[in-house]
Amino acid sequence: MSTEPGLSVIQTDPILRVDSVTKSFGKKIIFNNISFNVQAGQVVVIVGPSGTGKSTFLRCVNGLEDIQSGRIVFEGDIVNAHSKNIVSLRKRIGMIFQNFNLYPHLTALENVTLAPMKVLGESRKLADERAMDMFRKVRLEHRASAYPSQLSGGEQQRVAIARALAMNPSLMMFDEPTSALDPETVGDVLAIMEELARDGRTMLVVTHEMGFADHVGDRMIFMDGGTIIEDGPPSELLKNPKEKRTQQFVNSVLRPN
Amino acid sequence: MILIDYSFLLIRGLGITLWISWVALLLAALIGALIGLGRTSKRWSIRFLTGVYAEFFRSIPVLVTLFFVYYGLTLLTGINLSTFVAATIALALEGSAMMSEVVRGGLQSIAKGQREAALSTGMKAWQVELFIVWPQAIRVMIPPAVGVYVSTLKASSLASVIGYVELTKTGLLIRESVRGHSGSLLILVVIATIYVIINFAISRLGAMLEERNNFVN
Amino acid sequence: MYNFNLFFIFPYLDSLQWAIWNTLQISVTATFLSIIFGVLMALVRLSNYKYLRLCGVCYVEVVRNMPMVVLLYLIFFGLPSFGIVLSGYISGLTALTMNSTAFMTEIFRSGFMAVSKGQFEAARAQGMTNTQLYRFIILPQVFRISYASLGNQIIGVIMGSSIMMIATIEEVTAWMFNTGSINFRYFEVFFVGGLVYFVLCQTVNLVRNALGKIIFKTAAAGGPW
Repeated sequence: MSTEPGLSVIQTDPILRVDSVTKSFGKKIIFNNISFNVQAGQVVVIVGPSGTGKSTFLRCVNGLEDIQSGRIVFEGDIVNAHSKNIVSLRKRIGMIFQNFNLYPHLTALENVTLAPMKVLGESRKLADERAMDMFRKVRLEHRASAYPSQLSGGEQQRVAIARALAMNPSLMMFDEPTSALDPETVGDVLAIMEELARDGRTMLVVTHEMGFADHVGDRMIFMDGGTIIEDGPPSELLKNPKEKRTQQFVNSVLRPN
Repeated sequence: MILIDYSFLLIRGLGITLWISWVALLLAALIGALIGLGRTSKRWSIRFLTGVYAEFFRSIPVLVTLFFVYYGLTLLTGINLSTFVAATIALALEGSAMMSEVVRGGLQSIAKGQREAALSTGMKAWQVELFIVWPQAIRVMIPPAVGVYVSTLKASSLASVIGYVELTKTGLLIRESVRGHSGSLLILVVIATIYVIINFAISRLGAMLEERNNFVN
Repeated sequence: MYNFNLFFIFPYLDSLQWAIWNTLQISVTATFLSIIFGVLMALVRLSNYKYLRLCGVCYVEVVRNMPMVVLLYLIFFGLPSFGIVLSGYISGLTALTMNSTAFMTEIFRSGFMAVSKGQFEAARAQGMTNTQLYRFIILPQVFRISYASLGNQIIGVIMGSSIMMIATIEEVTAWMFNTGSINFRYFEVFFVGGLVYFVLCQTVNLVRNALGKIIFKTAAAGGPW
């Protein structure tokens, strides 16, 4: 992990520590005994078949779901869905949803400025200025005054990315950001994400886009049946998977026919 | 033409009908919002109690509530309620049950992802409700709330039974004074027509508001 | 302070029994009639003939937007001007049925509209006659779609039956009013009368939910239970 090309090999405290975390709904176990760390600046891609708890895992990191055992530590703070400090934690974690979840009653600009104003207490002027920077970043400065219903899926997702960026989070989590998009707009969103990675953002990405995982990911985690099957550099996992299940999955995704 | 002689009384009656149903609607909206919030509560006991409240008034005819407030409350408190106050309270109680249904429906129509997205940006629970959930939910609530207003307006005609002189009672009084006259039937038809036109207009307005709400989809 | 004592109601239980019977009788009759007329009027509203459709719309909008008391007065006080004198019971039943028919029409109309065109085409393509088409294909689906609203409208009819006291029908609300004005035990009277209405309506709710589970194998929501 410490031999990524282009990154200096300074081993600091990981930004996110996941220690034997288990999540269940009633008797149904979603994932079991999951452990891994994310270093600052790393892009970690989580892949695996649908319904293996990848999305639920991201929601646990953000405290949108509680966990039954184990520990999630983000920047030294324990994530507890029921504690008061979860709000201060969420400010530092940006989340991108599969269905965008833009606020339909607000314009794109207002979608981006609302949390900086209400949560960070920024003035409208500052929030507007910073929001326009974010819109330039996602190349949507001409669409800032549009309502979500007037935007295409790809544009909506880019607004959602701008909305998360506006909080200047130290970790960005993407929950299948391109799964609900038309094929022709997927590329735009992936290009923005690649840029964010190049800027040195720490990212945790659940996706089915193997090309993105291979090019942009520093590390790939393969999850199946609620556990981590394999964890390593993407090229390694894609070319010479050690585990049989990884092999099957990679084959099915790369050669769907 | 008797209609011209009585037109002033009819307009006044209509004004009183619109006024009492409007006051009752505002009260109903206030109580209904609280009950409706309770019906979406996480706690089972609150959901159950508010559910019973709504179901109770849905199962009691307006006329019964009206009699209860007018005769029963007077007996209990010793205060003589005016017919206006009694009718307003009764209409508000009945309306609040319908409004709680409207509020519950509106709140539940907001997708779960909206709350999650807002929470994930670090908003506090009350901020999520105030800035994200309610602004969207109110737009969903307005068309059915217009329906509640029409119901309340129609139900206000029952206040005539305890002698409150609104539009219906005005019509009945005019009818008394022209008894035997051919205007007896005419005055009832006029009253009915006024109700139909007013309620039809309000309902159309509600339908237009509903069509304007398409941004949600 | 008011001394609540249900004992005062005992002498009036006989008349209450009759009142409940009258409420039930007029509600059931009006429900039955308005379902039949409602289906017919729904077909009128969806008819291919413009003027027939217009008649349907007019009926629904006029009756739906008129308070039932006013409708009742029109029948009770207005019809005699034309030499038509109806008894209190028939006047009340007519008003209740006419009112409920307007709402039933809307319920069934949206039911018919929710059945997809393909259903008509598929059944016709199999050589079904119009009668068979409606009997076996369309009406069962309309019934299923309208089922939950049907229960609400039946409760609406029971609620509306309370207005029939104005037409001198001795139903539960009339019983409450009359008994109260004799013994001045308004609280007890309203408690018992209110309970009767609550039980009647919740019975409709519970029967609807239970029957819905049996007929459709799914629950139709209703009531806080």
